[in-house]
Parts: sequence; structure tokens; C-alpha cells
Amino acid sequence: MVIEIQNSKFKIKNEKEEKIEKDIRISIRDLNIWYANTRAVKDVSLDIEKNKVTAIIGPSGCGKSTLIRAVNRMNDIIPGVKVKGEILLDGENIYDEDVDVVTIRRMVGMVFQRSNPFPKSIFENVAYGLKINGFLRKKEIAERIEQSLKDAALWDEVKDRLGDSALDLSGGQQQRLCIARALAVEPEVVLFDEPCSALDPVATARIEELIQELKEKYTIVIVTHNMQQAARISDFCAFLMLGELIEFDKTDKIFTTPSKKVTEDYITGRFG
Amino acid sequence: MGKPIRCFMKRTRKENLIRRLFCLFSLFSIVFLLGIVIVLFKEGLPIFKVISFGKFFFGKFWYPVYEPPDFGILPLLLGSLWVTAGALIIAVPLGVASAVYISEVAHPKIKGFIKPAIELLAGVPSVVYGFFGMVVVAPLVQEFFGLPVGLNALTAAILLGVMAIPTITSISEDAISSVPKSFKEASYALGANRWETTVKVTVPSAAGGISTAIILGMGRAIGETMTVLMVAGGAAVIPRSFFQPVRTMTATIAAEMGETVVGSEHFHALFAIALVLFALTLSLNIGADVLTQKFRKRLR
Amino acid sequence: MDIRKTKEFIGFGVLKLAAVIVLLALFTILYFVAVRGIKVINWEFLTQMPRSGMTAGGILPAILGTFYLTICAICFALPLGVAAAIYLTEYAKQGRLVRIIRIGINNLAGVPSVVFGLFGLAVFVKFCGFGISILSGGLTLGILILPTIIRASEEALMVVPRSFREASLALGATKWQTISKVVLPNAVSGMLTGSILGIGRAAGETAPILFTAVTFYSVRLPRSVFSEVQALPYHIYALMTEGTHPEAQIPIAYGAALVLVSLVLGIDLIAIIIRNRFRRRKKW
Repeated sequence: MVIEIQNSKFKIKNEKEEKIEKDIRISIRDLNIWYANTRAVKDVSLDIEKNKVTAIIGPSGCGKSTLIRAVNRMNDIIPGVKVKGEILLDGENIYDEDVDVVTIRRMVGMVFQRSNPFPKSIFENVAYGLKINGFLRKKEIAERIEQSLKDAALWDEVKDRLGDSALDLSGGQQQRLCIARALAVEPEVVLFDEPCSALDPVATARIEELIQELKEKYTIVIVTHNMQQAARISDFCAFLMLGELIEFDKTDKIFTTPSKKVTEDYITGRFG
Repeated sequence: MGKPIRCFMKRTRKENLIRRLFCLFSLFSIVFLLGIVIVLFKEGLPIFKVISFGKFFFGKFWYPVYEPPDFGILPLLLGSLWVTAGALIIAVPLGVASAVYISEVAHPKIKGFIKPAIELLAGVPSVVYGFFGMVVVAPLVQEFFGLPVGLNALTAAILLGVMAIPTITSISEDAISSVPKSFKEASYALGANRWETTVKVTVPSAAGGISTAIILGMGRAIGETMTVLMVAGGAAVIPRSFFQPVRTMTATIAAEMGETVVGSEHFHALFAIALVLFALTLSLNIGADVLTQKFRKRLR
Repeated sequence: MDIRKTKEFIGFGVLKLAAVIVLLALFTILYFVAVRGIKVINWEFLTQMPRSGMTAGGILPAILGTFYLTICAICFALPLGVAAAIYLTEYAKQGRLVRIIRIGINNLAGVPSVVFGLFGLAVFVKFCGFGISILSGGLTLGILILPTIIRASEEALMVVPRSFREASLALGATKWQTISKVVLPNAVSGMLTGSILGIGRAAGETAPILFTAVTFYSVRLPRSVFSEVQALPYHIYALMTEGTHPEAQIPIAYGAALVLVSLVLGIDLIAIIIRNRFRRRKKW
């Protein structure tokens, strides 16, 4: 008994020390999310480090999309969703009552499962976020658009046809356009909700490469059902099942020596 | 680090203001509906100071300009019901059969032509139906049945029937085509052919929607004004046969409101008729609504 | 076996017959109106004032009157209807208020047109003091077509994919920015086609304007929204039921009926065609 108590005390202390070392951007604390009467996320707590890629994996229906959508409060727009717990963004709980959702979403950008460009020109798509944020000077807008398209590795392909409809782009290009659109408002965190699930392998590889480059500037969270993808691009990995966080650790540890049997079963493809 | 994330009062206030504004606009439908109810009560109820409920509803004579006047709406009420019943006898079989044909039998190409055509039929203004009734249908009816006048309950019923068909057909068609495929497949799997499946499975499954359609068609027929005003003949007597001129509640209001003095007994009596008419159509609508809800639940 | 097949054959035949009868009814009406109406329609008929106590001359005032009434109705109903639809689809949460609003809309749609006329008479003509005028009639027609416009606009708004709204909100747009910059521009075509159906209805209605706007005969064309007007549907009714020279008036009524039918069905047809075209073209 005594030893155990000592042990846990030691652990807590250790954790605290680590926290100071690590630069934690987002801290999810005892998060519970209900859809009507079903609990989709159960008591999840995890920390997301700055300038790292954190992947959330798990079988479909495990609540990973719900979890990531909680980080920029996109679940708010779905009727009947209830959230309990805290998500700290730079130490402030974004679910506090006096928090402005719009500011949160400007700080935490999101790229969706299916590319969803507006039926406007390429230019207008990227400019949209700038315009609603009050950027009016044309020169500044043009510069920011060029920069974000470059960051999204799309500039060379579209620089001569910025006026064309975004819907004329290929699927992969559309998804990169959506990334550029999200980057244009200069968020601090970018959430990717299965960004490659509708893309072919070549387009997927480009997006993965891009995500690797983006972590220099941004903190990235990505949901994926593709374990190879998580292994390739993430620094940390959270394994979710039936709404519960089974395991959260460094990616190489999860994929080489997971501490739980279920994680191992999932990763080795025994179910899911 | 980070931007301040709290309390953007100005923005929140603006957003709330916009939301409230739209909410206000959406309330106008109710305001108008309530306005109609209030106006009808306010202008209609005073007639009951002059005449009792019983005499109003069951009085057999409508002589509003006699001295003393008679304000019995029984002939008008029966006139409306008579013509509506006649219209339904024509519209229900034709309308429902067309709906079944469109959704179960017709080739997609034919369907793509018939559906808009029937939508157009709904778009023809009622005064044009009335006009057509006067110049074409009435003489035919008169000649065919050897009657003294062609403007009678039968002519009105025929025209109202045609007018109610689009309502009945389009709503029935929606109901029939939303019958789950699995129902039909189950029937085919048991060896039934298409006709047997249609009659024994598809149509009974859509019965709720079809009844809604019939009720709404009935509402359309009861509320129709110009056509009956022009072709029903206009005699305010209790109808005994279809070959007799009749007068409906709607036609009475339309024909007499222009000639009354505002605030007179006759004026109030016409509003009271409108109140009866409104109550009738309102209950039909609510009935249709309840049926639709029930139907939806059962399909699930 | 044979009996069952015969039954099927006869059954489907009967159904087909019903559909044919319905279509025949439509085309008979259109045929009569078109064939007899076309004989009296010429440039003069469309652009002249009526002469000799409605037994000769044109129907210009009636055409213009219907035009003014319809414009007035749509100017009133379109903003109201679109705003209500925006509230119902974008803002409102399912609850008692929405249920009540829906009941209001559904039942307003079922109110007989002549009752709208009485409401217009009591409220616009008498209470507001607009008199028998374009304004009174237009507002009455506006209320009549409000449910049509709300439903059409709601449908158009619901077709806009949720992913557009999500993309906009995720970029930090406010709800209103999302609605005004993303949702509405993509719903506008649908709203308009739906509203065109409302216009057709407003142009063809007679009973609501009977005591709120129309006059059988006016010497002048209307000068302002407070003038009384002639209107095509009422003109047809009046030609058939009033006046003393039916043999001279019926041809004019045919002409007026053809103009009205082409106007209303033309408007409807345009709406249907545009709707089908948009449905096909949309990629999302």
C-alpha cells in the first residue's frame, strides 16, 4: 500500500515536471459528449503539444470525429449535442460561458473529410476567411492568398487560373485548396478530420507530406482510420474505442510496444 | 500569448439582434392567421345579437335584403357540402388512379411529362375554370340531361372536381412513391404480379397519405369561390338534386359583400359565414396534419 | 394464370384511362381558350382602353392592373417569406415555437381565398384606410402567397449542403456572415423559382381582390398605389356576369382568358423549366 501511494505521488510529480518541459497547446480534461442520449465520448483526457502532429485513431464510430470537432466547437451546430468537461486552449477553457466561439474557430482551423470548397473562384475561396475577418486592402489579401496557397503546396498548379471555379479542380487539389483556405486566417491549431479518406494514393501522399511541413508553423491534430497514415505522419497517437481513450503515447511506442492488448489487436489488424 | 478569447459583447449582441429580427419575421404567418381569426370573430359575432345560433345554422331561408331579413345559412352550408361531395365523387377516383398510374405504371419519360402537366392544371386560375364552365360545360350539361338551365350543382361539381384533382394526385403520388421498396419486393417474392402488388400492398400502405390528399382536396373544393360563383346557378335553396342551381357559402360572400353597407346586419352575417367556412377548412387542415403525422410514425 | 394476367392488363388500363382523362381535361380547357381567344387578340386588343361600355376595344387597364397588383404582392411577400424561411431553416431549434409557426404557415395556406378578401377589406381597406386600391389588394394577395414563398425558400435553403456552412463557420465566420455570404447566394436561384410560382398564383386570384382592389370599369389608368384598378381575372368574371351584351362580351372574355392563362401558365412554366435546369446543373 505504502509503496503504491508513494509511487503514484512520484508519478504525479513526474507528470507535472514533464508538463513544464513540454509546450502544451491544447489540454482536454474529462471530456464527455452526448448525441441525444448516446455518449459518444467518455471521460477523455489528453494533452496536445505545440508544433507536433497528434493523430487520433480507432475503429469507425469510436467518437474520433466527435472528439476533434469538439476542439473548435463545431459540435455546437449539431442539434442535441451536449458537452461536459473542459478543453483548455493555451490554458483557457473554450467551453466557458463567456467565450466567443467565433474567435475560437479563427484560432483553431479545420479541414474536413470531404473537400468542401465554396462554389466560387479559387481566389474567392481563400479570400473568404480574410474578408470576414476584416481584411480589406487588396494588396494584403493577394499576398496572404499567395502565401497560403504556397503553404498548401498548391500555388504552382493554380497561380495562372485563380479566377477559375474551385469546383473544376481535382479532388486532391480541392482538399489542398481547403487547407490553404484554413491557413489564410493564420490559425494556431489546424484540425484535420480524415482529410484523405476521399482521395487517391498520390493525392494522399501529397497531403501527408504537406502536413509534415505544416507542423513547423502549426499545431496539428488529425483524425484518421488509416493506421499506416498515423504511423507515417504523427508524433503522438491516441487510440479511441467506443468513445473511450484506450491509450495515448508517442506514436512509435504505440506502434511498437503498445501497453494494452486491445491497442495491439487493433494495430495488427485483428479487428476494425 | 494567444488572442483574448472571451466576451465579444458587440459581436454577440449584433448576432442576437439579427436572430431576433428573423424570428420576428417568421412570426408574421401566425400574426396574419390570428388577424384573420380576430377579424372574423369581431365582424361575424355581432350577427348573433340579432339572430340565435340555431336560427343562423338551421334557418332554411337566406333572404338578407328582405324586410325583415332572413339569415339562415342552412341552404348555403348544404350547397357547399353538396357541391363538394359531387366534386369528390369525380376527383377521388380520377385523382388517386392517376397518382397510382404515375408512380407505379408510367414509363419515366411519360411521368416526366404528366407530372408537370398536372402541376400546370393546378395553376389555371379559378376564374378561367368558371369561364370555361359557363361557355362550354354548362351548355353541354343542359343539353345532355335536357335541363332548363346548365348552371347547376352538377356543372359546379364537375369543374370543382377537375380543380381538386391536382391536389389529390400530387400528394397521393408522393405518398405512394414513398412506400418502401422492401414492401413491394416481399410481395413479388411471394409470386404476386405487379397489379396484385399495387392493389394489395402499395396502395394500402400509402392509405394514410392518400387520405391526407383527399382531405386537402376537399378543403380546396369547399373554399373555392369564383368557379362556383359563376357556374353553380346561385339559388339559395336547400338542394334536392344535382340538376338544381345551388349557392355555396363562398359564392354568397363574394356575390353580396360588394353590395352591403359596412357594419350592417347583412355585413356581419357574411363575416359569420366566413367564420363557419374558416372553421371548416381549418379543421380539415388540422385533420390532414394529424393524419400525416400518424402515417409517418407508422411507416417508421 | 391467364385470369391474373388479364386482371393486371385491365387494371393498369383503367389507371391509364384515368390519367388520360385528367390530361384531356387540362388540354380541353387550354384548347378552347386558346382557339377562341386567339381570334380576338391583336395588338390593339392588348394596348387599347375598353370602349362602348365594355363591348369593344382592348383590355390594357386590366393587364396593367394585374401587373401592378402582382408586383405589390411580391414586394410585400418576398422579403417576409425569405426572412421567415431563413429563421426556420438556419436559426430555429426544434421546439414549441417552430411547431406553432409551422402550424401557422400550414393553416394560412389552407384558408379559402375569399376569406383573405374579407380580411383585406376589414384591415387594409377599412382599418388602415387604404381604400379600394392597388395597395390593399396587393397586400391581401401578398398574405395569400406568403406560405408558398416560405415553403419554396425553405426548400431552396435546405438544398445548400451543410458542408458549406461548416466550412464557413470553421473559418471563424459568424452565423450571419455564413448565411449572407455563403448560404443565401447559393439558395437564391431556388428561392426565385419558388417565388415565381407564387407570382403566378397572385396574378390569377380573383376573390381576394374582389372587395379590396378592383373595379369593373375605370376611365383612367391607375395613377398611384391608392387608385382602384381593373384586373384580368376580375375582368373576365365581370364580362361574364355583368353588362348587357353577352354576345359582344364573351369574345372579349375569351381574349382576356387567353391572356391571363398564358401569363399565369407562362410564369409557371418558366419556373418549372428553370428549376429542372438548376437541378441538373448543380454539382454539389
